[in-house]
Amino acid sequence: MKYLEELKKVLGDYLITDPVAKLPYYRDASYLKGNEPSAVAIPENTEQLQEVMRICFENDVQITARGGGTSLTGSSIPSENSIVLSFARMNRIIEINTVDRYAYAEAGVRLDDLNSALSKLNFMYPPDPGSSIAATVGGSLSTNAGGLRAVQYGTTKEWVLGLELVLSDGTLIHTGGRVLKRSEGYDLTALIIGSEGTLALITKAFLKITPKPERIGRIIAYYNEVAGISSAISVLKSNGVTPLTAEFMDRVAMNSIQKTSTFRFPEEARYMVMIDLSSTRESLDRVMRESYELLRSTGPTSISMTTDENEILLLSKMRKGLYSSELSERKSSDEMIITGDIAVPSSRLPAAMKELEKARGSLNISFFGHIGDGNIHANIFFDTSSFERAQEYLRLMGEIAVKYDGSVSAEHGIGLEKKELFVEELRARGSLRALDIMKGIKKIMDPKGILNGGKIF
Amino acid sequence: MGARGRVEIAKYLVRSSNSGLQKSVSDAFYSCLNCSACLSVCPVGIDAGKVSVLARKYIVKNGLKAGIAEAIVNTTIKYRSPLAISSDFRRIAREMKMDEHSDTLLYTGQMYLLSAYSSSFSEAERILGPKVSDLIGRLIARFPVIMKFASRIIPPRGRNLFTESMKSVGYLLSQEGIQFKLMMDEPYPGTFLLELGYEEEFRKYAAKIASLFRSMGVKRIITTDPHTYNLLKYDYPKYIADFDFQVVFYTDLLNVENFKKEDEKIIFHEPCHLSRGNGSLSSPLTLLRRAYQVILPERSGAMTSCCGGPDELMFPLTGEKISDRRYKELRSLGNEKLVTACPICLSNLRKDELVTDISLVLKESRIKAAPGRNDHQGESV
Repeated sequence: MKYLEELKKVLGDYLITDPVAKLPYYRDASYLKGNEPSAVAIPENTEQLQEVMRICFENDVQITARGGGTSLTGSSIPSENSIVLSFARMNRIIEINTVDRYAYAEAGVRLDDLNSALSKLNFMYPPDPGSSIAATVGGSLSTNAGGLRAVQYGTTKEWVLGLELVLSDGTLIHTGGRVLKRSEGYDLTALIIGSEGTLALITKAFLKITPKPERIGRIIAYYNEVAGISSAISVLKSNGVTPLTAEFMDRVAMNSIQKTSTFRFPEEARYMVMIDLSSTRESLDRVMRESYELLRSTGPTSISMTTDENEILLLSKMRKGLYSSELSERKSSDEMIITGDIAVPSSRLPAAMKELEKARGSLNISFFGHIGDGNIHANIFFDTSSFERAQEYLRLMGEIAVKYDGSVSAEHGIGLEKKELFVEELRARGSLRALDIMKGIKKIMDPKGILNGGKIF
Repeated sequence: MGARGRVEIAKYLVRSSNSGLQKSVSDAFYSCLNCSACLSVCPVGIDAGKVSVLARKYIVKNGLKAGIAEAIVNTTIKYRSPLAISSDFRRIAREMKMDEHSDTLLYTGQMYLLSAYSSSFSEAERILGPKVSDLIGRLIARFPVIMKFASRIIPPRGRNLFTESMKSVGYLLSQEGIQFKLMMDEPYPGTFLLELGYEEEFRKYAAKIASLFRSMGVKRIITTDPHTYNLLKYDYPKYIADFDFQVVFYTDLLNVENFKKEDEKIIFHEPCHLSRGNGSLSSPLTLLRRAYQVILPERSGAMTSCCGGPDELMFPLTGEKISDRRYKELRSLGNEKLVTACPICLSNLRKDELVTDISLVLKESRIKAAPGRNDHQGESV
């Protein structure tokens, strides 16, 4: 493979070809396993990356971009003989401008590191997927990540002002930029967000930033029935309260948190709703009191509130680590987890949850999610004997999402795992033509089809 | 490669019978810093570092050994020192005026002395490159006397600083009225043997060291570095049946009231092995805060960043990158004295003259707190 020698000249020791050193790159955070890549390339900057892409384009080599490797749909697992292109070294925060309200960062910057830097200036970048400790700017943009704060701030696509992109042939282009307003032809920035590395490689991004909330408080309410959790969010929203975060967890999730922390939840509670509210220093107490009364009116079995920062931070950390901590709920070490991720309008959530609960059968499933925006996650435990049933349940989740006019993929993207579901959703909505349009765009932007082939469609 | 990467390679190691991939497999685990940073950030408490520890044992049992690891182990067994250094403490013992009849042993585990040499050895490895270093390692493993010869010709760096640090520990303890004795020819406690996965060798070696302690009538062991502290307190009892010595870290014996508060600012790098896991001790920071205005980097406490020291001997280039990064992070806080509480950290972060050991700054404060007192062991005010 002559192209490997050319890549070696560009990258030196940062071209990994040793079979053992390549092993960590076979997988991402999904249950799927990729094939052996021919190499892992770790460029230091955009110029090196362009050179890598020129060589791969000339030699028709498949590229799989890799940020934090936290995809849950197999988006960053490599195909055979591909090059995994890791952004691990492209991790600089280049500029933070609080007057113009943006941060300019390389694609390999981890989201928590970005927010740690912004926090010193009392600012934040709102999108915060559960994997933010490891997820990167590039990866989160590639999947239009949502996260816990999406109920108040929206998803990633609303927080990106501009991109530096490298196309499949190594050409560098810039879309958008530093300014908030821009009305110029087609919005290529928006096109790239959520494209999972199949159209172009994000090397840098201008990200909108916003001041951190002055104060945050939390109300936790417990319920025995699934209807309770949706009534909780309904009563808040219909009374003009937009939470900072609105999460729910079921008993399995609560048990796993109890196993890995000192948190204790009421034994009889089947569901928990965790509402974070943000406000000014002067008004938080009033907002908390009013919201507390609203939630109390929905008949929880118990309810509590806190403004203790450490307690809030710790439970949020536990919630973010739920996918991993629930591994402790496996019945055997052979069991793995598929994570379902659908969205339905919040008002349809009770009905959707009821169907999902009814359909679980003998499967061990844990439900949790971002109830504020109707995003339901289901950790489906499976082993080789129950794999088919788990897949079937995943399909059912997609059908329920479509039935209630929602989405088969709220925030995890399509990757490898949801390709069929994606087509089914488009078919159900009479929009298969949209798939043709997407494929046409792919053909224009990636004429040789070397960018993350096999993902999305 | 990270924590997740090592877990993937561990799975491969256990499932694969392909022995043709030796070096890259053992490298994956020997390069782990054992700093427990992965445990600190994991929201569910998965200790990927344990995977490296178990993998090393597996590697040793299945013959996939690294040259330098073998060299360190065989030299330790033969000379009771991984670099075949003789720790002649006779002069220091005279200066410290030790009490031969005390049942308290001040035990440095050679760590201060080794740290003076380790940076020179790793420099030599950097020059020779990994392949030649591995070859020489295999030669030393067969003929440990080569290491003895090497330690005579490779000069230590900053030996004076390390010697003064040891003496300062002695001074601080004597100011608290603590009597202790030293071992004239102090053996290394065997940390590397355990960390490199040579469990059986460690068991036998530790038994000899424990026997030595017993023969000296020791009941209490005061340690001066986090690695030796953790090893004697938590690991030795697992391998030596009646290892019932009291093991303490010296700063735990110092009375915080006896230090004078200064306006002087210092930057403190907290060692991994004192801030995380078993060995979490708060006394170093408490004492420093009593005596100085302490500046801590963002990554402190349980989130402290490793100095790169554990990779110094086997992966000197990687170790240097890590220590450079941490040094820059610490120096970005200012030009004050940069203090650490571990001789390995001291050796790896010592990139300017203002990097120093906690014992020296505490001694300064102690002297200022009690001017005119000269009833300490062998030290002049």
